[in-house]
Amino acid sequence: MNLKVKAQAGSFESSDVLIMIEPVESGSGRIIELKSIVMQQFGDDLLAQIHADLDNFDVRDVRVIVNDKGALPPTVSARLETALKRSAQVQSGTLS
Amino acid sequence: MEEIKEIEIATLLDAREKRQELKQSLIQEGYHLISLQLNIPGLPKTNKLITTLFRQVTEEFERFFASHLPVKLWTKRIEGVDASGDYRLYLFDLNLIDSTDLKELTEQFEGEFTLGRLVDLDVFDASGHFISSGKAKKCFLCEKPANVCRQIATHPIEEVRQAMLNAMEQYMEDQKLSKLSDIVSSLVTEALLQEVSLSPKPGLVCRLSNGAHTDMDYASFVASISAISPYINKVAQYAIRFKGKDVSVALPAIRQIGLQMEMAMNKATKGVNTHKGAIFLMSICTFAIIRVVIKQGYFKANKLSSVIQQLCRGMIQRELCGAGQKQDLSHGQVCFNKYGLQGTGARGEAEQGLPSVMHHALPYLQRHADQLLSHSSDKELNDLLIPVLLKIMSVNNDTNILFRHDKLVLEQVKKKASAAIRVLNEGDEGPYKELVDWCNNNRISPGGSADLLAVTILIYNCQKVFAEEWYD
Repeated sequence: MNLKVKAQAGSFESSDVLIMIEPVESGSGRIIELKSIVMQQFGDDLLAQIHADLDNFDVRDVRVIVNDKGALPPTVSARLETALKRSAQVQSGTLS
Repeated sequence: MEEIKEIEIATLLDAREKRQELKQSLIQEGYHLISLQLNIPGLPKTNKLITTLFRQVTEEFERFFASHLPVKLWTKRIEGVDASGDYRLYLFDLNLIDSTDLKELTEQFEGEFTLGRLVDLDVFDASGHFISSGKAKKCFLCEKPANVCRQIATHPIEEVRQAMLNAMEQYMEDQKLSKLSDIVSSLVTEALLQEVSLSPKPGLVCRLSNGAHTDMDYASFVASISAISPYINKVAQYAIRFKGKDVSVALPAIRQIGLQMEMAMNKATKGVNTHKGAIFLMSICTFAIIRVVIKQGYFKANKLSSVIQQLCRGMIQRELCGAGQKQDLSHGQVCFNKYGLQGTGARGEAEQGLPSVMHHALPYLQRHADQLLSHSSDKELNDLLIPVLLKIMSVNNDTNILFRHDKLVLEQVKKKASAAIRVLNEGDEGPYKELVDWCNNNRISPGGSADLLAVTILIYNCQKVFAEEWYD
């Protein structure tokens, strides 16, 4: 996926996550800043999930800022997907 | 099915984003922000029960805030509902209050409030930072942090949701019952005050005279009513706790509180019996009104009548026929021994389900009044209630009169009351004034009728207050 602009998806509501996507120069790799209320227990799982999702969308170079308020994995995936698509300017809302 | 769920979840995610945008735009206007919502797992996030509870929670929260920060209240309040549920946003002027103080207060509220664990209060400061306490909320079902339980799905979501909905229903039921007992207690006090305040009255204590009495006046009534009032709430509490179908077993417990009332009355009046009959009638009415409202969901006079009948079944047999000729009989017992079934007084009224009230006084009052009596002026109350008192006097075998006088005087009172009400309706107050003077001069006091008037006022007001869906 070709990221073009800074984009964001999600919220600060409990059980949700706020994800920001920033395109970076090709070859910089993935810079992931992760903050979560369940960091201790599930931080590693969350990081692994984000990597897996980025693999799926074939995104190698990106800065991702994740501020998690206890979102479940499907919510994290949905928010990340929306943020990526917004960055690639292929989607604006949550549904389309 | 799965597809529907997916759309619902996407709608939910969408709603949260929009809400986030709304909050951000409000904060940028230069406010600290508190957002209040409920933590409801599963879908839907709102329905009638949830919205009703949410409204109560906001009321509690706002009272809590107003009492802690009487001068630093929010400058703006925004409420809404979306797929993510009901919410209220409170905006605070950043120059007037510190965001950490707000956080402290919201935490205190979450800790003190019965359903605090269902409440989600977030604080954002004016620069958009989420103020966190660093403390994790406990799971609703176990002692672990809620977000851990959710991540590893310790409990099925439906189970948590159901437990929360049950807790909400319980909370609202408790609130409703406590409001019910408060309202009934205050209506009882009001009825007693309205009765004694009615002036002038034949032979009875009123604001203008002591009537036929020398040992009591308006002040003693005020003292006595004030002394009785707290105990009425005790009867109400007992009625709420009462379980079971057969209410006749409740009588001794009500009597115990009634005897406390008598002691309080005697202390307040230095031993003058201002309200003994009223204590009896008001106590059983309080119990019965609450049983009816709990059972029916609203108040119905004929149901009240049958609950009172059940409660007092066999009372005349047990307490009057069985009293015999022993020493220190009550006035009611003395009257029964002398006059038989005509002298059963308050007990007789109660055992029959208050016929003088149900068949005479209440229908009359209903025909002539249309609003809650609390909303009537002094003059309106006088115009409405004097004829009701006369109506009761014209049919009631008042043991107060039988005890101090005899059958002949009672019949005269009934006839005079009957005649006075007829002409009073045509605007002629003459015979009523004559009746007042005649009773005062001959020291005739229809105290039993006065008690029944207070009961009539109470029942009428209950009909108005506890209409269907009174609590919604």
